[in-house]
Amino acid sequence: MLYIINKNPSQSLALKNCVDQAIAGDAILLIENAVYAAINTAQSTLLQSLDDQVSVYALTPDLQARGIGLNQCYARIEPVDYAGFVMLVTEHQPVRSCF
Amino acid sequence: MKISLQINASPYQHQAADSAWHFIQAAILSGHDICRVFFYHDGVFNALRDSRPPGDERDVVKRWSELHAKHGVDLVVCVSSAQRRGLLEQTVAKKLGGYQSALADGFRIAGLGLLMEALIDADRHITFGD
Amino acid sequence: MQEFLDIVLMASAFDQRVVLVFEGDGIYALMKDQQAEVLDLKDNSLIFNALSIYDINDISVEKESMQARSISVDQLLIPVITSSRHELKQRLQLADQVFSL
Repeated sequence: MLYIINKNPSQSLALKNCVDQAIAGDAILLIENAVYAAINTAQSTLLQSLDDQVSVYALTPDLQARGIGLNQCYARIEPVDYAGFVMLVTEHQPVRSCF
Repeated sequence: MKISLQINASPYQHQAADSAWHFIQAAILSGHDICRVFFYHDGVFNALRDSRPPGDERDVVKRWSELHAKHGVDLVVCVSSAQRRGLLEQTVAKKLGGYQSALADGFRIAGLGLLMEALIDADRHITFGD
Repeated sequence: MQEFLDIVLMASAFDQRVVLVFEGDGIYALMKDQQAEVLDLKDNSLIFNALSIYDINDISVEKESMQARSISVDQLLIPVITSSRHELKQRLQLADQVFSL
């Protein structure tokens, strides 16, 4: 399953719920304000509790638009552009947009 | 691959319309078929003919109209969402008392059945918005 | 909520097999004794009660979410199946399309 998350964890529990549910082979894509969750901070432990076998992607244009550099992000975050977003959608079934 | 989209949020307030539009550009470039974009909930505001953003801003409504003109993407506005929010297509409006056509070029108005048809027909359905 | 339920009913009208899952705060939508009329809102409980007429009987709540909110099935509007997060995940994995509210 591909989870698409578009909200910051401070706005919505979508990412938390998805971290709780995701299993090996799943992928999580952070877009829009959810890319803030990619930033490695002392307070944001959410992604640390996630299974290593779950891939986490962040949409590069949304990172860039918010001034977030990859060096600020968790090492496990894989940046993708829109073509990569399309690729993730085609490679996973089903796709679930969580709000 | 056949991909259908659903947009549930209004432009300018929410990034959904922008994300969807960029996604569609990339998908078309990769050779995929965007079989339908269904505008639901506040997403119907993407179709407002009279939207006039300042000249130095992106024109979301116009982008949709151009997408339809250039690639023939089917842009469907949900009739019940639109009626709830006062956005009426001429033929529906006539029955209810007469309004100017509210939809921009390239959009058509229809029922939820067309969303269901897209869901069944498409390999993937992606929702943007809330 | 109303517009989301419209999708559910329409899917059934198109002979699609519908699986409804309530998880997280979504469970609160099923609470009994909601008095929507005090806020001049439509009473969604009527639709929930009518789901079986539309052949939508596969309705589950997530056990972990129920426990976290101290809610038991007798507090809910309609009969539901209580399933673990793991079980629900496996079922969703089989779906052609997944909608979330």
